[in-house]
Amino acid sequence: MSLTCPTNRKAFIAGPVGYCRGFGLSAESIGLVTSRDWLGMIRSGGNIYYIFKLAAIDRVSMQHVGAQQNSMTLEQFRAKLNSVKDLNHG
Amino acid sequence: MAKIVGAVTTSHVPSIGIAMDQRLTQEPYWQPLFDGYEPAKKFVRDLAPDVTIVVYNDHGLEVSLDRVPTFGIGAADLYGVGDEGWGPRPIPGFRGDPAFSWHLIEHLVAQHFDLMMYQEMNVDHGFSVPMSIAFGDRNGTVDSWPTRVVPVTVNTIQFPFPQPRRCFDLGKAIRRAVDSFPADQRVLILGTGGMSHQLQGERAGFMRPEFDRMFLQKLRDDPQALARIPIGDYMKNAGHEGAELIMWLVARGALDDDAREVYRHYHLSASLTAAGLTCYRKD
Repeated sequence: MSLTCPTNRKAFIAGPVGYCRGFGLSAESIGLVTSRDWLGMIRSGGNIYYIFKLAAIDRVSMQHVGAQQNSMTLEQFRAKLNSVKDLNHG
Repeated sequence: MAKIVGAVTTSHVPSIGIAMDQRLTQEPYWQPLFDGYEPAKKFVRDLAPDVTIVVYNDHGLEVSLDRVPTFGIGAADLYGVGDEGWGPRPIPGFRGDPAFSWHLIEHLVAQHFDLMMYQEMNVDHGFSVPMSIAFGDRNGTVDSWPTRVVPVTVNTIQFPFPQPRRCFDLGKAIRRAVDSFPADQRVLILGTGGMSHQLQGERAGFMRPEFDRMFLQKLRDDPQALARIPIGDYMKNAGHEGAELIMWLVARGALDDDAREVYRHYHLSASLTAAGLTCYRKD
């Protein structure tokens, strides 16, 4: 949530490991953050709306995050989204 | 006397805001969704609400995981447009109505709804995207918002979420609180979030149109039945984040059970989300 502040975003980009240590994250958690292991962050108890602030820093979309959690490329994941059909109304 | 003149319920997907802010609403991907918003904009224009109660969930802008209110209500003069990580959306701030907010707070607490009160508050896409859909032009643009606002927050981000029944009853309590406000005010209630979607875990990308169609139908014909479905079943059948539909139940609860649905729009999909919108008139 601290990443909603532009100054903090700059500090995170300049030194992500130190920034995370400042919040008391374990080495393992820091590894999940710096490798942008979205599924790993969720599994370790991360909340999507808070860890998604990292996606804002990377300028990537929720589709990117969704694709990685599905072990898919972005194109494969978009195809999956487009394959959902509304049978009641064509 | 104040009265709730209608309700609008709509998805609040961030990328819908981006599409408006970046003027992409005529692009092939977005056009069908935004075409479907036009009748809702006319509906809201004709209702001309003085005050709009916006029921939404904060997404880590104002609410930290250190303190998570199950329900909250704003009582600020002005609600700023928050920076969620990308910088604030290029839209004006929202004028509040503290006197009306405090009236609601007093009457809601008296009815045993113990909401957290925000006297300072910024709002995120969960609030601003529905406002742009309801009050903006095609691209969501407004010179200034033609309505004062009262934000009502519902926790749909950290377990446990409130039960649908509780949300529906909150809507009924809001209705009674509005009805007892002494000045003439036309009030719109905006329920946001949904429809079926899931953002997290291996099931990210899950959508279920069959559930959404059932929900839309029952919202009109038998909202009490939707209030009886346990919150866990919403997560199972509409996706984890599909549980946001409980905020539609707050808005629907604020109307009579036989209120008239005047418009409905459903579109697959907006990013990872099945997007829906309804308009209800009080009588």
